[in-house]
Amino acid sequence: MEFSDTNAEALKRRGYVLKNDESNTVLGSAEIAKHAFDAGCSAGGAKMNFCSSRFKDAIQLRLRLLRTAQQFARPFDEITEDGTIIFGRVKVPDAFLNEVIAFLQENELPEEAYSVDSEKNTIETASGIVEELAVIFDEDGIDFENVQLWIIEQYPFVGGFVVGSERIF
Amino acid sequence: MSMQSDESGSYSNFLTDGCLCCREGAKMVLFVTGVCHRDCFFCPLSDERKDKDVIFANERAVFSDADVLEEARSMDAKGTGITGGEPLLEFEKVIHYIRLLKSTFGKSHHIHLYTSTAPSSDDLKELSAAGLDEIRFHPPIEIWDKLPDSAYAKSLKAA
Repeated sequence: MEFSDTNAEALKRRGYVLKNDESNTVLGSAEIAKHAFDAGCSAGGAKMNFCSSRFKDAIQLRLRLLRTAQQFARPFDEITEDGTIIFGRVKVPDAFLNEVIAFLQENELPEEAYSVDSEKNTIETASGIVEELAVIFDEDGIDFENVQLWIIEQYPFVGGFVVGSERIF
Repeated sequence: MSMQSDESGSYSNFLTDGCLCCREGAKMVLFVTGVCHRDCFFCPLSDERKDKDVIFANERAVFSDADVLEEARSMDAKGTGITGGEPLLEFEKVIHYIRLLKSTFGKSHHIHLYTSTAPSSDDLKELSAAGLDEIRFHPPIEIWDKLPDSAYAKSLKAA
């Protein structure tokens, strides 16, 4: 059994408690399962599987995300072991979008290494490229009227939940 | 039978094809309704889903068949687990989705279903004919001590 927002009150009323702070697992749940498993084994022939609450997060969900990330990831996205993707984002003031694209082309960044969203005035590319840009912009004093450079980590689908973001320029 | 265990504390001496597929991260979870005739105190469903007539494929809200297929493609699903709520309260919907998934992704797309009901043998035949590969019975705790005489025993045998 596992705790959730909706069943926590009912579980507590019946005296159930969390196994520890890091999981949703109900204390004693695994022990009851072990007891049943052993009883089934000694009775002989029972086919059994104990699927822990942690399995869902650590394996089912994580591997599903990884699989989704492998389908979704663009050539420049980095896939983490949690199944999230990390990439760099350039936020450009409206009038400078084409200038920044020209700048990338001058620096021989191949077309597949970045993706342009002309509605949002953003360019997404590898996090390493954005880090390099930060150094170049800094050294050469280029800023395309307050261009912003970000590193983003998010779930691997369109509009996926952003796990973390950091502005580096 | 040999014991298998993993880093999540799970263990088994036998895993069904449905479990094996899930362990690869290749099972889509198709939640066909939040409505259920039972009221189990331990039900962990969120308010967004509990007792609501809503459909989700993994975390994606479903408004059309295309949503289901798109979610399955996005994760390159090798199979689907149908759950709820009580899926069999929406029997026709379940049959529809089994047929949809099998006709789109082929026979090898493995489909399993959870239920806390004791389906009749006619219903089981229909589910099987539509392509259901695996069914998991969750009989309510009140009848655990008289399980062999219950409708669940009959369903299990028929399955």
